[in-house]
Amino acid sequence: MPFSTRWRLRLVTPLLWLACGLASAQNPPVAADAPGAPASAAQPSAAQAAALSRDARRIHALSRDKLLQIRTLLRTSNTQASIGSGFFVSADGLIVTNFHVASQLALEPERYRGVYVTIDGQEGDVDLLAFDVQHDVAVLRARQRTAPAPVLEFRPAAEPLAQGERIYSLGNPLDIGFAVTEGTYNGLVRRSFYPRIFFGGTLNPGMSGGPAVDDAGRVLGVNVAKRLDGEQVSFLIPAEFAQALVQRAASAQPITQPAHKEVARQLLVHQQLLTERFLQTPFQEQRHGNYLVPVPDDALARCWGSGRDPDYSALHLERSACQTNSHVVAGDFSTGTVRLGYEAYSAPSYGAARFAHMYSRSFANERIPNRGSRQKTAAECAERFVDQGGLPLRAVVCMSAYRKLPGLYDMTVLAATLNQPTQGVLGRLDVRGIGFDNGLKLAERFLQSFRWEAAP
Amino acid sequence: MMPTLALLEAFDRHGALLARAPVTRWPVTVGRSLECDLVLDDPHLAPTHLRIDRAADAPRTVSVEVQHTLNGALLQRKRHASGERFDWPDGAPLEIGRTRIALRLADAPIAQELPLPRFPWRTLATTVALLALMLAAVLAAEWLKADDSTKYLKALPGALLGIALFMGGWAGLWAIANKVFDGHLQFWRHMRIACALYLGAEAVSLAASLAAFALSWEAVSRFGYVLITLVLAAGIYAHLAAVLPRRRTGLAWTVGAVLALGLPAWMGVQWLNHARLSNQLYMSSLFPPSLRVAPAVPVPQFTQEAGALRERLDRRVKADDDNEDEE
Repeated sequence: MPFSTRWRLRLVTPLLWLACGLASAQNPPVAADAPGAPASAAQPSAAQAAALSRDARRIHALSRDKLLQIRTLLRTSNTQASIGSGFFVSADGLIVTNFHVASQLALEPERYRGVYVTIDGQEGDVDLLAFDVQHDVAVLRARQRTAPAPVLEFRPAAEPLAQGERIYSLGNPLDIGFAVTEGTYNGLVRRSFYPRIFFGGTLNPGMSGGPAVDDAGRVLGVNVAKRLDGEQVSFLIPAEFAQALVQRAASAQPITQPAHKEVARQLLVHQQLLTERFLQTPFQEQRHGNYLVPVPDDALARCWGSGRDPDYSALHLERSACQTNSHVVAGDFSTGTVRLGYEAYSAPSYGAARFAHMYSRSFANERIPNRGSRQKTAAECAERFVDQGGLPLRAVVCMSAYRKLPGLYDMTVLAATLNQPTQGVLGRLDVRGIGFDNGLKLAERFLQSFRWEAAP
Repeated sequence: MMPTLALLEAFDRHGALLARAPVTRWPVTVGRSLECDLVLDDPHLAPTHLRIDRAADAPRTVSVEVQHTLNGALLQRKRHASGERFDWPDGAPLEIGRTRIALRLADAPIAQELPLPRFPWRTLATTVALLALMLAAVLAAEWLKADDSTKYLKALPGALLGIALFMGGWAGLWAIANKVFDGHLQFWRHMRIACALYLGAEAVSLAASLAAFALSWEAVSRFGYVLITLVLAAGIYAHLAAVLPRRRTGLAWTVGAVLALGLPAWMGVQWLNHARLSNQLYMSSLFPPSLRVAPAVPVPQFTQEAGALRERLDRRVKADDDNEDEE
C-alpha cells in the first residue's frame, strides 16, 4: 500500500549523538578497568602501523591528564543520567564539552548535578557557565580545585589542516575507559548548516565533548556525533566555536536556575538564520508530470526520490523528500530542521472517483501530533482552499508550541493539488523549532511555489 | 342444557390463554378458591377476587364488585379497591393480579371474518431492493479501493463473504432476541433494518464528507461522527421496537437518553484529553476537483488567517501550565 509507508524516516539522516545515556545504551556503569594499563591488544604488524601506533601513544601520553569524563548525576539518588567527555582549557579549571552532554544541567539544575572524573579517578563537582546550543558546546568550571589544571592548547585558526591529515580523537567511550582513536581530517561537512569537521575515524557514545587533536596535541575540534548508517563517518565541532564560548564563559556566573529562556533565545537565533537562508535562496523546481513543486537548493538540503509502488501497477507514484542538515539538540530532543516531501500521483485509468478515493486516503494518512507531549502541545490547524496562480490547492497549516521554549513552534504544512481529476501532488513541509511568524512566512513561500504547467 | 350467556377468558402477560369458563348463569365469581366459577392460580389474587353480575333490568351492562382483596382490579388504567363496584364495558380487558381477563357476551355483535393475509409481495420486494442496494454499495466500495479489475475480482469474494457473515450474524442475533421476547423470529425484518442502517450510515458519511469538501465546511467533517451516531441510534431503536413492539415509547426514551448522555460524555472526555471535541485535526476527504464549490483564496490571505493559531496555541500552553500547577 502506498499509504502505510508514507513519510518513512528512511531518508532521514540516522545520526547518533555521543552522550551516553546509560539507560538507553544498556551498559551497566562498570568501573573503568585499569585505564592506564598499556594496550596489550595492539599488535601492529606493518612498520607503518607501528609508527601510527607510536603517534597515538604519544598523543595519549601528552593529553591523558587533561582529559575528563563528565557525568550528570540525579541529585536524589546519585545515579548517572548521562556521561560524556571533556577537557581542561584553562588553568583555573574551565572545561569544554558538548551542550548535549551538559543539557540537563542547563534545563533541570534542580534535579541534576555535574561531576568531572580525571583519568586517575579524581572526582569533583562542576558548574555550568555557558552553552552554545547552535554549535553544541558548553563550558563548565571545576569547583574546589586548588592546583592549576593541566590545559590543552587550541590549534591556531591560522594553521588550516590539510585533507587527509591524521588527527586523534580522545574520550571515554561507553564508560569503559579513556581511549584515543586515530582518523583523518576530511575537511568540512557539505550541506551542514553550521560548520562541522568530517572526521574519518571512529567515535563512540561517551566520547561526546572529548577533544580531537592534531599531531602536536593541539585541539582542533570537539567530538560530537557519528552517522549510524556508515562506518567511520564522524563529526567534530571546529575548535573556534569552543574558543569563542570559553572567552564568553570566563566571566560568567554559574547557571543554577533552569535556562529555558536562554535555550529558547539561542534557538530563536537559529530559526532566524534558517528562515533567512531559506527565504534568500530561491527554491529549485522539481517536476512531477505537469506539476512543478519547490525543493530547497542543493546547498541547503539533501533530497531523495523513489519510483512507483509495485502493488499498484495502474498508479504512477513518485516520492521525494528533502531534509536540511540543521538539527540542533535542545535538551533531550533535537529540533531546528526543515523537511519537504512530495508524493505525485497519476492514474488516468482510475477515473475521477477512484482516484479521489485513493488520493483522499493518502491525504488523510498524515501524522500530526493530536495529543501533546511533555515538550510540546497538541497541534492546532488552519485549513482552506487556496488558489496559487490558477492552481487550486487544499492547504493545511498545523502548529504545536514548545511548552518550555516560548516563541518556538513545530509546523507542518500539507498541500494537495486539486486541478486534475486523475492527477495530483501531495506536499508536506515540516519545520521543527521555528518562530511563529517565520513559520507562516515559510508556509506562504512553500504554498506559493506550487505550479501547474498546462501541456504545450 | 343451559344456554351459554357469555365466555370469560384469562390470559397471562404475554397474551397466552390460561383458562376459560363459559357463563351459564349470573353472577359469576373469579378467584383462587375452587368455589369460584373461574379458578386462577395467580398468587396475587384473593380467594374470591371479583363478583361479576349482569342485572336483568339492565341487560347491556355488566357490573363488577371487587371482593375482599389487597390488590383490587385495574380497568382502563383506573384502580378499583376492595368493596368498589363499577361497570365493565364490553370488550375492555380487566387486570387482576398478574392476569388479564376478558368477557365476551353471547348477545354482543360478532366482528366480520377477516381474510387471510396475502403473500407479502411488497415486503419481499422491499427486502430484495434493500439487499440489492447494499450489495451495490459494497461492490462500489470495493471498486473504489481496487487498483485494477483483476485485483477487484480477487478481492470481491472475501468482501462479499465478510459482509454476508456480518449482516447475517447481526440480523440473526436480533432475530433470536425477537423470538425470546416476542415469540416470532422476524429474521428478514431485522435484515431489512440492518440493510437500511448500513445504507443510511454510508449515505450520511458520504454526504457529510462531500458537503465538507464542496463547501469547505470543516465542521461537518469534524462532527460527522455525531451524524453517524444518530443514524446508528435510529437503527438500534428500530431493532428494539421490533423485538418489544408494546414498549416503543419506553424504548424511544431509552435510546434518546443514552444518546443524550453518551454523546456529551464522549465529547467531554475528548475535551478533557485533547481540549477539542473531535479527534480529527483537519478535513481529509478529497473529491474530484469539479465538485468543489467553495472559493479558493490567495495564499497570503490563508496564511494571514492562520495567524489565529498563535492565540489557540498560547491557550494550550497556558492550560497545560495550569494543569501542571495543580499536580
